[in-house]
Amino acid sequence: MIDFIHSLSQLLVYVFLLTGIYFLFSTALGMIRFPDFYTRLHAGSKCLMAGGIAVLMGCIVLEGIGFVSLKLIVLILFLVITNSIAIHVIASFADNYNILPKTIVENDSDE
Amino acid sequence: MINLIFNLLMIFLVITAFFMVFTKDISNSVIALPVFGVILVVIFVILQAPDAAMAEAIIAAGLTTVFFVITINKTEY
Amino acid sequence: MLYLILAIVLSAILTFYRVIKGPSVPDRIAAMNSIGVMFLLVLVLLSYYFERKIFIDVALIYGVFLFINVLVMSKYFSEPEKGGVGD
Repeated sequence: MIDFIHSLSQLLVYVFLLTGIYFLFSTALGMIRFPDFYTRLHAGSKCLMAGGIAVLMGCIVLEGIGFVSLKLIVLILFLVITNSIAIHVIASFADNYNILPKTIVENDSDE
Repeated sequence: MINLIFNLLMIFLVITAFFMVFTKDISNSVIALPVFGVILVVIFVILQAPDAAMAEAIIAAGLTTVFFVITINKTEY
Repeated sequence: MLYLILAIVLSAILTFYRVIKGPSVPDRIAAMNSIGVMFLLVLVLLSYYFERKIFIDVALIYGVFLFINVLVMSKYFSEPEKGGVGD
């Protein structure tokens, strides 16, 4: 029984880490290939946080219960609060530069 | 394998430094400075020096960039 | 574990293309934020590879200073005739 739980934990670690690697690589691909500033910001916000949370959760499952996993939980909470504030500040800063989206929606075009 | 990552980080450090020196606008150079700092932090961690890495993370990736940004804002560029 | 670190470093090198060839300053700041978070995850994974858990403290301290960097750049890199963002 203990052996089964151990192997299940190892499988969970691999699933979390591979999911994190997939999301981080899609962040890099989105930063290169997206045509517009706001879509690049979307890739830098959501995909990056999904990859970061997945990698840190894999590290927590690999560690077990202890003081180090408490530090990793604090790091997850800090990243979730911090990166959303940073992306919001960048998006409100881009208002000074008059960057227009490249594909304009119908309702936005009459301004 | 760790040697491959170390050499890759060294090449990335050289690319970042060349971009910082040879770009035209001065704000692009200041934006590339924290990237230089964090690559240097990872290199110090691979070389087993966590105290030097901590000092590098505070000084090069934190305070120097903030001072440069405020200085560029105060002057005419 | 080392293949994961290699994949994250390659992703950061690919993201640095946007810092070189971004059309405007906010593009470069967003790409710099992405590169910073990727190397923070590299620091956490390296602490598991070397079996020394003190390296997580370096990652925590770097996270704080990355946030301060992005805030200060967004506040002071505005157009000179318009004034700062927060003012």
